[in-house]
Amino acid sequence: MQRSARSLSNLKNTLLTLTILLGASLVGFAFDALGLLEINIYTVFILGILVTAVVTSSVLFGALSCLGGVFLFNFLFAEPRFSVEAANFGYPLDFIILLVVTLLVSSLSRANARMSFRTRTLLATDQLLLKAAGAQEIVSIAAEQLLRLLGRPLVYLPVEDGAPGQAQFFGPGKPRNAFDGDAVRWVIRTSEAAGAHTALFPQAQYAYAAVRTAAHAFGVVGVEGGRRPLTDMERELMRSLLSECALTLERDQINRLREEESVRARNEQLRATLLRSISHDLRTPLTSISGNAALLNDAGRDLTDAQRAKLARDIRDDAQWLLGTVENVLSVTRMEEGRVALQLRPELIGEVLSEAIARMRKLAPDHTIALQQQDDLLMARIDAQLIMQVTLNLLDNAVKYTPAGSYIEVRARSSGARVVVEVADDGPGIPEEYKARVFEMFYTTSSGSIDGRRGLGLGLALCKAIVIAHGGEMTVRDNTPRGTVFAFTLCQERIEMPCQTIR
Amino acid sequence: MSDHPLILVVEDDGAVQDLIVTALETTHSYRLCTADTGTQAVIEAATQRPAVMLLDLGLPDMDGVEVISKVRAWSDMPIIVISARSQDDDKIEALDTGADDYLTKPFSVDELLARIRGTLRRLHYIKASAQDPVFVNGDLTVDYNSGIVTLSGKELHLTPLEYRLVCVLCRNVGRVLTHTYLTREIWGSTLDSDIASLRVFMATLRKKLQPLPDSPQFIQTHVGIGYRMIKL
Repeated sequence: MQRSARSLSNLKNTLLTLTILLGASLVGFAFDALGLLEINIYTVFILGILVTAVVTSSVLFGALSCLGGVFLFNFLFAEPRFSVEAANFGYPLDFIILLVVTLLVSSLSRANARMSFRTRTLLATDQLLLKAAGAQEIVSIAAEQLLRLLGRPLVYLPVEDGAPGQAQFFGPGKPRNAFDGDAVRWVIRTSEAAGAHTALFPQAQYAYAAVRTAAHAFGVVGVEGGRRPLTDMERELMRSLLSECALTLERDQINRLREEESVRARNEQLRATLLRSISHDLRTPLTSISGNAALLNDAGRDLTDAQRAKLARDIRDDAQWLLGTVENVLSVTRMEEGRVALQLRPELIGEVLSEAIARMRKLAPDHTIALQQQDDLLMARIDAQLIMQVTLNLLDNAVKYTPAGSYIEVRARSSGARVVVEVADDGPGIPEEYKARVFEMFYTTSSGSIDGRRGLGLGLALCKAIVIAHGGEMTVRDNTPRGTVFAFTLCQERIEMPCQTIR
Repeated sequence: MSDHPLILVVEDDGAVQDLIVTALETTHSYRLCTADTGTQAVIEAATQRPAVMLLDLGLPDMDGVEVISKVRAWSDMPIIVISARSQDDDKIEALDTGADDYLTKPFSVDELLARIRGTLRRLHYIKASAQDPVFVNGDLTVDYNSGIVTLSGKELHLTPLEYRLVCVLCRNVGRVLTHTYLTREIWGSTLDSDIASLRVFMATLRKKLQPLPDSPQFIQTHVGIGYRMIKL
């Protein structure tokens, strides 16, 4: 890569040199035709040689152009013309003086170009670091830029709890396995430079410097010692680049901490809301259960059979409701704490859905629930228990928000590498403005529930969290001609069946 | 009275024990004994020789699974596990240790009675036909000697693997068999791919055993746990 860049720049410089010399010769012929003096033509050649030295910024091409220019002038314009013989003794002397001037100009121009390259690299580093995210990316960018500036292989060792971590190598050549532990530890402890070409640990392979801000040491950079120490200018550049890198690392660390803090605060708030909702919403059914049970116990004899049956039924219904809510609250807390290790296994999606439907049919005898599937051997990689809970919650939701006698259809189909499951009802549907919010935790509509009881608003939020944990998506849309469709996707499992013969 | 089967109820929670005892007493078909701890349960099981044990998994002194393995050392009495934990792992461990069936709290009284009736029916069947080379369950017959399976008198064409599955299910009729148990019985291993194949074989087998949606269902699916051949 670097080699091809160099040969490209050599080619460019060669072309430039040739073009300028050709130009000077053409102008020389023009001057000659106009009858101008030899000295005028000579000045044109001097100009051409100096221009070459400036634009190529190369001592080599400056010298070559000087040699070529003097030769051309001598051959083309100096008497005797079209011969290399120097009639005038002054020409070799002129040539030497010109050569010295050219070399001076080209080395000045080269220093200038190097300076502007460094300035550009430093500015570019600033820009790149500004966009970088994460310590790894920041370190890589800084190392790449340092490599361009110094042209020497580098090693970076992050500081972890005051000790050097896993070394990362940058630049050409084979990374050296052994780095200089003592020098690195010294740099970490004192933040002073150490290693090759310094007073401390001069036998080290690399010259080490700390990447740190006033508050925190992030790492140590080692630059390969090489034959000569870094120049003052190079050291200065390296220092400014490293401090830039350290500041960026610090900014990144602060951002990360702040983000963690805000996630923690959000979870904290979620938990507080959860607790408030639970203690508020669970009291209602508990009051009814304990009241009804006390009534049965104290006044059971004075009640008619029908009244007693009604009280018992209410107790059972409220307890069922509590049970479902408690299951959801438990799952939500598990999901929130990120403790759920999904037990992913290949499952027949039809089995899971039919089981959920069978359970819901018992709880909602007045609704018709049907299963539609394209392929009853459709498999997905899922946690069966959790996906069953998702399906149950969606069915429960459909039952709760549609009148008795409604038709609910559960569909499963394959779509590319996914399995799409839909729960569709023909109820009143969800108004457009609520659709975006139904998956929010603790979101419940104030009206619309058929039995008049509001849930905690956990069910759908939980469904979404579970589906996302499975790597799927959850959406809601209108059913045609009316009603609502909740859909979620799962990863399809394709299996190769062991071959079997028919008996 | 004395020919009524004896049921051992092992449950440390007073209210739930009361519920189970009351529910069973109202049927007037069972004799009952109770235990509050695992140790007591093992002693009762050894001295009273109950027909069926109902075992709560969360006992104060020892894990319910430990009770199962102790009892299984000398008896194959049916054990129905009652678990408050909704995690499947405990149930699966209990079933793999030798439990026959499970109930998850909260369960309905109807469900409890149905499980006990089913277990007793199976017990009766096993006693009556232990050495019988032909398994009969409703319309389904499996002739182990000739390897022929018929449904309503018509021979079913099963693949060798399906036949092995049917045999395992029939020999353990009424018991919930975990996925692990089944794959180990059929393939001798429990790889993920085997579990996936088991699902597919089971689905095709079920379709053969239940040709119409309203024909009786022989194989019951326990999502996340396993399968059971129901004794009709």
